[in-house]
Amino acid sequence: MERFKLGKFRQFLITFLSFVILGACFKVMVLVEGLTEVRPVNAIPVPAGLFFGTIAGLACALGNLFSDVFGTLTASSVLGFIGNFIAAYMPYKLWHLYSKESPNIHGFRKLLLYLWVTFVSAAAVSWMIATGIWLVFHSWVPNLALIIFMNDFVFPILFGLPVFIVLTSDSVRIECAKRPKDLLPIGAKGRKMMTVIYAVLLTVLLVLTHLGGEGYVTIATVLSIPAVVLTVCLML
Amino acid sequence: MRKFENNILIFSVMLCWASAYVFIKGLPEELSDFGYLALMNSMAALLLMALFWQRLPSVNKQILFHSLILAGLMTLVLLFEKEGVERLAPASASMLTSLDIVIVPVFMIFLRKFPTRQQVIGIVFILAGVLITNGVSADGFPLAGTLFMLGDCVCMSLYTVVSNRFCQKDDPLLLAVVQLAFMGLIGMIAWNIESPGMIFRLQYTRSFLSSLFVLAIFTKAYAYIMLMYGEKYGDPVDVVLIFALEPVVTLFLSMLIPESFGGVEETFSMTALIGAIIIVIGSCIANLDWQEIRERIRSRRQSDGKI
Repeated sequence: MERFKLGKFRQFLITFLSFVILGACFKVMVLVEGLTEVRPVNAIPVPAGLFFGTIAGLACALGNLFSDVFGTLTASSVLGFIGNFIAAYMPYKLWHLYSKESPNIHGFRKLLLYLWVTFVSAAAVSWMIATGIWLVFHSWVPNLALIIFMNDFVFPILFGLPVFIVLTSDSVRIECAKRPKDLLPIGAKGRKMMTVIYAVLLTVLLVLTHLGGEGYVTIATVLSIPAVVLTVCLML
Repeated sequence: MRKFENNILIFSVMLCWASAYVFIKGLPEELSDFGYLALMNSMAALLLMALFWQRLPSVNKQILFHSLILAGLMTLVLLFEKEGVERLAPASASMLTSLDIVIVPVFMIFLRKFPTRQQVIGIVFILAGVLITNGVSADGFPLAGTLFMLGDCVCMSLYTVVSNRFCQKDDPLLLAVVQLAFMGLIGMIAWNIESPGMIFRLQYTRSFLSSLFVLAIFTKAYAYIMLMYGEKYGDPVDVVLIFALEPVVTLFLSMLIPESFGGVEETFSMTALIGAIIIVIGSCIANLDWQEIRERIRSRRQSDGKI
C-alpha cells in the first residue's frame, strides 16, 4: 500500500490548527476545580513531532504562542514557545537516535522507546517552563512543574499513542519526516549516554522545582547550566 | 497492527467514554439526552467531514448501508440504556451491562468462531469481579428495567460483532464519519419531536460550547475512529473484554477527581477495589499474548544456554 503523504504546509497547518483549537477549548473549561491546567492538547506534540519533525516543533510553538495572545500573553510565553518546540522536536531527535526505522510501535521495544522519548521530552518541557519561571522570572508557582510534566507525559500516552498507532498502521502508513541531521559531531553512543544523564538531571530539577524554596535556588541554577548545554547538544 | 497496539486503541476509547462525566458537567440542564446526542454526533460528523473532505467521494452505497445499521444499533443501545438506568439501581444496571462479555462470544459461536481458552478464563474472572463489585440481590432487578438493560446489552453485542465484520470490508474512517452523521440525524429528529425548536432556544455560552466541542472531539470523533480501527484489526471478544474494564477506570477516576464523580465515597469501597482487581486480572488473562510471551521466555532461555 502507498504511504500517506502530506505537504509541508499541510503538516504545519494541521498541527497548528489542532493545537490552537484544542488549546482554546481547554482554556475555557475548568475540568478540575483549582486545576485549570489540565491540557489534553499536550497529546499533540509527541506524535506530531515524530511524524513531521521540525515543522511540528514550529507549529506547536507558534500554536501555543497564538493561544497565549488571546488570553495569557506574558514575558514567560517565551519559555512556553521554547518548551512547546522542545515537546515536539525532542521526541523526533531521540527516536532517530535510538531507532533506524521510521517511527512506529509495531514491537514491544518500540513501545518502550515511545514511552522513553515521551518521558524525556515531558521532563525537558517541565524544566524549561516551570524551572524557567522560577529561576528567570523569580516566581515559583506551586505544583506547576508537576502539572506540566503530567500533561506532557500522560496525554501523549493516553491520546497521542492511539493516534500514532492508527497513522502508522497498514491502512494509513503516514510518511514521516526524514532522519534529522546531526549538526554537532557527537556519535550515537555519546548521545545516548548524554540522554540518560539528561533524564536524570531533569528528574532532579523537576523534584527541586516542585519543592521550591529559597534553599534550592542555587543548586537548581547550577544544575540548569548542564541541562541547557545538554538540551542544545541533543537538539543539534 | 499487533494485538497490543489494538488493545491500546480500544482501551483509549473506553477511557474516553468513561471520562465523559468530567466534561458532561459543563452542559446545561435543559439539554435532554436526545439533544445531547444530536449536538454531539452532528458536531463530530461535521468536524470529521471538514477534516477528511477529500476522502468523502469514496463513500458508496455499501458504506452508507453499513453505517446506517451501525448508527441504528448504537442509537438503540443509548435508548435502552437510558430507559434501563432510570428503572434500575446503578449496581444492577452495571451488572446487566457487563453481560455483553458473555453475549458476544455466543454470537461468535453462531458465526463458527469459538472463544479461546484464555478468553473463557478471562470472562469467568471478569464476571466474578463484576459480581463482587455490585453484589447480588434478586430484588434489584424489576422486569421492565432488566429487559431494557438486556436489550441494551444485546444491541451493544450485535454492534460489536457487526462493526467488526463491516470494518473488514469498508474503510474504517468513512464508516466512523458516516455513522456519526446518521446518529446525529437520528438524534436531531428525535430531539425535534421531543422538544421542537429547542436547538434555537438553548443559551450557547463559551463554557457550554467548549464542553460540547471537547465532548464531540474526544467521546465521538476520536472514539469512533479509534473504535472502527480497533474493530478492523481486533477480535470482537477481545474488544468487549477491554470494555469490561470501564468500572475499574471509573473507580480510578473517581479517586483522582472525586468532585466529577459525585464524591469518592459514592464509588469506592473495599469490595469495589477487590472486584476491580479481579476484573483487571481477567482482562489481562484474556488479552495478553501469552503465546508470544512464552516464546520470548523460551528463546531468551535458549540464548542464555548458548552463552
